[in-house]
Amino acid sequence: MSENPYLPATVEVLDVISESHDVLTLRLDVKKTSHMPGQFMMLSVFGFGEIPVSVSSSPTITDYIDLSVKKTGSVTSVVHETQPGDTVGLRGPYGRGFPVDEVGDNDLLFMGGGIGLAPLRSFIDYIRDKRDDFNDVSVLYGARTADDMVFRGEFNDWRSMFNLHLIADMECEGWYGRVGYVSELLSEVTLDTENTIAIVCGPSIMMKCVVGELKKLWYPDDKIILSFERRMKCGIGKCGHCNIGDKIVCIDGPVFSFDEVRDSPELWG
Amino acid sequence: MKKIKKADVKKFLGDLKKEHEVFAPVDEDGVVEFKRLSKKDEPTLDYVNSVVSPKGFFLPMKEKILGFREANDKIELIDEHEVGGRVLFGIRPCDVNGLLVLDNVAREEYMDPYYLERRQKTILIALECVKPGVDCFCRVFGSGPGLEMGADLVYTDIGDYFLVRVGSDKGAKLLSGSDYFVEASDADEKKAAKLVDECAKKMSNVESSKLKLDLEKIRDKGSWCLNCYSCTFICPTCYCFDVVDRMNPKGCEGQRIRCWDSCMNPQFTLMAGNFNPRNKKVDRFVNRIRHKLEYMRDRYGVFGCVGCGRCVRECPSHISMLEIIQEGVR
Amino acid sequence: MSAEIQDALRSEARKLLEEGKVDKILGYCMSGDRVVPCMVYAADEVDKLIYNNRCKINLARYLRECDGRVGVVAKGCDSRAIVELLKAKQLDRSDLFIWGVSCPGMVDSEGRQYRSCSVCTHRNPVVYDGFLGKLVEEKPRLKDDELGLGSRDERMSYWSKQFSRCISCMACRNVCPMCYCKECVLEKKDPEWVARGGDISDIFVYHAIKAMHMAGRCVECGECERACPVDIPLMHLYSRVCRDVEQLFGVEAGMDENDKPPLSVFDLEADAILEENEKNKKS
Repeated sequence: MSENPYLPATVEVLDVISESHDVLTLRLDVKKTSHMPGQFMMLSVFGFGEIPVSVSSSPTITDYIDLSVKKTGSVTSVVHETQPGDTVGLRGPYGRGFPVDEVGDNDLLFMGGGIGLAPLRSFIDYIRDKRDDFNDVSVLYGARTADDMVFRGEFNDWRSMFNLHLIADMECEGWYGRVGYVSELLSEVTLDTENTIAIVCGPSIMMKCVVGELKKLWYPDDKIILSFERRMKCGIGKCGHCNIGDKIVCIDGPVFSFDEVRDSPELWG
Repeated sequence: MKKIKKADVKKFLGDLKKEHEVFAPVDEDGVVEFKRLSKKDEPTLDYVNSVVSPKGFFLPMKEKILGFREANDKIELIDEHEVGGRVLFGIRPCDVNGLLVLDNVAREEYMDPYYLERRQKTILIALECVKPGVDCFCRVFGSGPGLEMGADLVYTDIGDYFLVRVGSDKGAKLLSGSDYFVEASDADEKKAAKLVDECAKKMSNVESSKLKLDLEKIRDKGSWCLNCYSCTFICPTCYCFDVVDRMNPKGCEGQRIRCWDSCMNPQFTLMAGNFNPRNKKVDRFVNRIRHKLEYMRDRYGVFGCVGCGRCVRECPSHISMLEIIQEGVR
Repeated sequence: MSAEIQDALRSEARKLLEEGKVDKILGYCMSGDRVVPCMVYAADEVDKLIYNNRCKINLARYLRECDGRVGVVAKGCDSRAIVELLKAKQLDRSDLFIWGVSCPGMVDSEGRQYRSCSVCTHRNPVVYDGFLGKLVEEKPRLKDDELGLGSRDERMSYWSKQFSRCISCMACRNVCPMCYCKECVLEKKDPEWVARGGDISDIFVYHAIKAMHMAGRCVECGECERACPVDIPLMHLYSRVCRDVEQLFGVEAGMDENDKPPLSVFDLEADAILEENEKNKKS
């Protein structure tokens, strides 16, 4: 973008799409995208701060990019006040995304929890648009309640192409599907574990449980792909905030295979 | 090789001041700090080391990295950073090596323009050590008391004179225009080498290449760490920073500032939504030690500790980095 | 004298551990040539406990983070910090067994006496379950003007110079035995009272807030000064506000567990607190 990696581009917000009661998607006027699924951008609201947000749209879309933000802190609260036509700052894309070109003939098993579906959506939509390049795809997604599920507008689309299974953590109004944790959905799909790559993103505790369940199914460590979230200030490996052991999440990750990080301290917190 | 009379050093610095901002260690009420030399300041040349490492000349305690202004519904970004030519006189070998460590971070994947510009525009005149401080352990990492590379000029105290070795073209240029330097003899060079060597011998030595950390013992020490942050602020190789946006009171103009942060701070890894992967005090301590002694070594091929001894001297719980290293080599 | 205390401490510690009256003992030991805080869990480890004129570290700071029944060595300042923490309900007296020791005035590794020790007026412990050694004579308190105070302008220029060295490392807060708040106003981000990456005025605000929060609570152990890498004489400030509180409410911090902490007790009639504390003193 610029010689000074700290200098954001100013970008117009084209649209603000509500995904759930506390998640919205900023659709940004970025015409030529260079990101790969799983990468993230540094989003600035000038005067309030800068946060890392993973790109939730597929790189096959060339008119805009989507950043989906959950309202959890001071900066994200300001992001939630954004209106179409506003200007935000954007740096990136940063980090290593999903191994899109290396999945080959493997089947893909996506497991998402809550807002963790955002980076997965980028990959899932990418597959949707290049369906012939990929084998069987299953998407297992869980959230606290039905109201917490994001990208609900795309579920029908996905269901027509992939095995989509949903689960809510608790009984709630308007939810007639399964209740429980996302790892329980593994019983819904038949897996050829030797030839399936699992791609997981969600809250730390969810990823920990899912990895535990996958290991019970004799999943090899290098076929479990995880996308991590850490506090980041620079996104470019300088500020020292995001390390997991010897890995610097913003430049070595945020996507790691489990065998890369298995022995790292404070992996799950 | 050249030498300069000790009495002439101040005059030489005076000449440098005509073209550069000159910073040198100054002792004020027992606290030695690098200060921009004014007429009345007397540089301290027989000091052990500054209390705070001189990393702040390159990675300041706080610096503006972006300005922004809102006008007619448009946001205008201001990207300006001006760095003048500076001379840092009297920097110790350990701290020069500290900068070489930081260079790795600044150059990895993305160039850090602010740090690197300052590095480029700052002339380093190092002062080798002939008298070790109580807590110094640079010998362990070969980052002192002598200096092989990283400075533009290297001074060594040989009594009435400083022996002066040229480390770069920039350094050579400083000498060529000055009358204070005379040719040094072989005896001078030998004397300097001997003094530095003797200094080294007075320091602890551990074979750092054999280092394998004893995590159990580190955790035990870490249980006494108060997470007071002081070690991280005075350390020559701690580089972590926080970034904050600040608005002027009218709210139409602001700046983005980066300022030193400490991995000992519980909020360092705290994410929105209250998840904190490094929530325990002792884990933060272990991370700091491993970062310096393992992670940086494995990543950049150099240890993230240069043995300056500042953390040993200042730790309120008297935790010693040297002891941690010694326990890892035994 | 210190050697006697050390011997007595070891045998007392052994006894208490053997009798199972405490789970562990918080004291000092040597690590290399440095005096460090240590925890002794078993009777056969008590010989590593030491006591000499380099035991400056205030153990009350670590006591806050201990659980279980702890035996602790307490000099004047440690004991005052314990009293103050008891007043603030941060410690449970029944969990503590305190060995009071008198303090010779502590010196650093180069043998220089700490400034805080040179002005100390409470070298003898104020609360203990057992006393080791002999009482030492207390020094009179310095008069206010000897604290280096001058006119307003002089004070301003003095502190401006001191604070210009501050690197905002917050070690003064982090080592303070009295800074136990779970969420600290100095580090709060929303709202942010003290700007991170601010200028000298923010540093003034930082130290002013810290000083105000020490009013009536500072036990003058000098750990802030010892921890400060750039040697800002912070205890000056805290002593100053404590003197004011003493005058207004008649309480010296860390002297009596039953004193009402003046700034934590809401009473429209401030005199009532003064009276009650004075009544308390007489009885």
